[in-house]
Amino acid sequence: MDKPLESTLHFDLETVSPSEMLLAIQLHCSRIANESSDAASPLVSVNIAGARGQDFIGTGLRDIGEVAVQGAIGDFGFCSFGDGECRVEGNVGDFFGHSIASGVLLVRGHAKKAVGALGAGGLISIYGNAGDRTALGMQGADVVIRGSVGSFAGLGMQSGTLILCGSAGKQLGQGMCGGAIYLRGEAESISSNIEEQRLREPDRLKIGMLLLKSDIKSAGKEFRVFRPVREEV
Amino acid sequence: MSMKSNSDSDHDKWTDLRSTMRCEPLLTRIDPLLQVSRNSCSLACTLNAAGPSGNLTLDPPFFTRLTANAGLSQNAQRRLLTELRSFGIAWLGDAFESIDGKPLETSQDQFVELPRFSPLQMDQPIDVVSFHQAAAIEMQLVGPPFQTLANSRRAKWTPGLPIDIADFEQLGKRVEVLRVVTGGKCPIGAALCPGAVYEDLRFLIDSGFDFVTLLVDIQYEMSPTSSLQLAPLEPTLEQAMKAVQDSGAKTKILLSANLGDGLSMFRCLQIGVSAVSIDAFLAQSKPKEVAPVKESFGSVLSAYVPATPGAVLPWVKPAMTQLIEELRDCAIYSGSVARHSVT
Repeated sequence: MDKPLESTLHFDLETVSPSEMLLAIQLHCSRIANESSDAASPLVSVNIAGARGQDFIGTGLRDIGEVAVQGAIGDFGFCSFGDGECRVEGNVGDFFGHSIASGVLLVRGHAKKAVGALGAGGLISIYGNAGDRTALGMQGADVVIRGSVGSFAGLGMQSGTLILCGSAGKQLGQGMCGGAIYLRGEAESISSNIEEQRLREPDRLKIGMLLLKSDIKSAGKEFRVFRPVREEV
Repeated sequence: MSMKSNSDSDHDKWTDLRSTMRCEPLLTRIDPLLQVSRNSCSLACTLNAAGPSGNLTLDPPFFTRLTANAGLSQNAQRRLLTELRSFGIAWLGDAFESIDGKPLETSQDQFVELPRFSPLQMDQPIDVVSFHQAAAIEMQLVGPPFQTLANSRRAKWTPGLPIDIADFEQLGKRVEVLRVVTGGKCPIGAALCPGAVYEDLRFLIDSGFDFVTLLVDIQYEMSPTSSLQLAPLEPTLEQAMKAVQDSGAKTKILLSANLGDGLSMFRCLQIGVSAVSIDAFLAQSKPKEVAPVKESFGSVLSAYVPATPGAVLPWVKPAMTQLIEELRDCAIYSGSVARHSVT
């Protein structure tokens, strides 16, 4: 099979809106997919400059190669993201990576509320701290927070993994039904819906693998694991 | 003495129950996972959301939710849609992944002509792929989160907000997200179970929805008796129309109610409803001797049931033809033939 077509797009959010950018990327992808004769999907790199906290940046982006964002983005950034790798150099707002389906989202700054809410797959990694309700109602995604998180982390989580390298706020794991929370620091309070379990070898491997994917060097040994309380029949 | 105290206690229970009978508006149902935000907000709150575009057009003004609510198998859904195809009836449901083993692109063709409302459940991720070829997106503002407390049929239809809405302004942003991912081409709507109808509609209109489907009655099976009434029709419609009028927005109202004949549908359309559900009409038109349209063989056996499109629902086409005739008569009687194209 031939090498897939590669191309790079540059956008300045001072001059185009996030929805116009999405449309342009989609048109470009479909055009080069039509031009390419082989079955390999084209690799498209996107560089986004001029991000100053606008909402909805990257929302709806799917099936692209790499995305690099210079600056901070607002609420609902990279919502419903899939099949690609994105690096954000600044901070992100509420609901970053909402409904993520697959791919990797790496953030060099801090995140506000509800990172990875309703995420169904993929990985979100935040180098700084995250606000309340991290991994809200998550359904299969993995979230790694290098710093600390606010209250209600893992609220209503159904499945997936939440790795907290720092400390957590109040009511960690409230209403959690599935998945696992790995915590290295301390939590202000832990919900009665979850219980601490023994960290096993598969857990260490999983933590190590996700931290490696997130470019964070750690052995994954100092963590504690929390899972939902099993109801006795 | 004991009798009196029992009676007093019963009376107290009734008083307690009566005090809780008033249906809480959606604004007090924010944050369903924590249920701490029980403080009410003022009506007609100023939101940042863009106003409704009102670009939803259904011609004819009918839709069916049987494909999503009646527990029909995919096979039965396809048969029903095949029957409704020539009438252009909009339907609610997920796109078929495969039909008779054929790939999606080719097998989907015969249903593309029918406008599809793509449902977005309150606890499900926003999946862009599921919106492909959808005529509209309908956010389902019903049910408890993850259906964990839905221990009865009525509880399943409790009014509610998506689990990630912790602030009333976030609903408008969620509508905006859906506009962005669909390129602004797809109307965004909400399915609302009537509670505090006026307050809820003002809230939804302010949040920027293009249309709201009022679920006054739910046809949960294709049987005349399998209808669940959630609210009385007339007061609900009255409040809904007042809410739309007071807001001055272009938001359209769709109605799912127990409308068994053309005249009742025509009256609702005359009041200002943009489209009505034909679910109750279809269920009531089904001859008694016909077996229930519900293949409950389970996932294994249903794979061996041969697909016979058009052969199992023979009453649908004649019933629809009769409905069109009834509506035409009503339109001629009232002199409003041109208003709704029923021919």
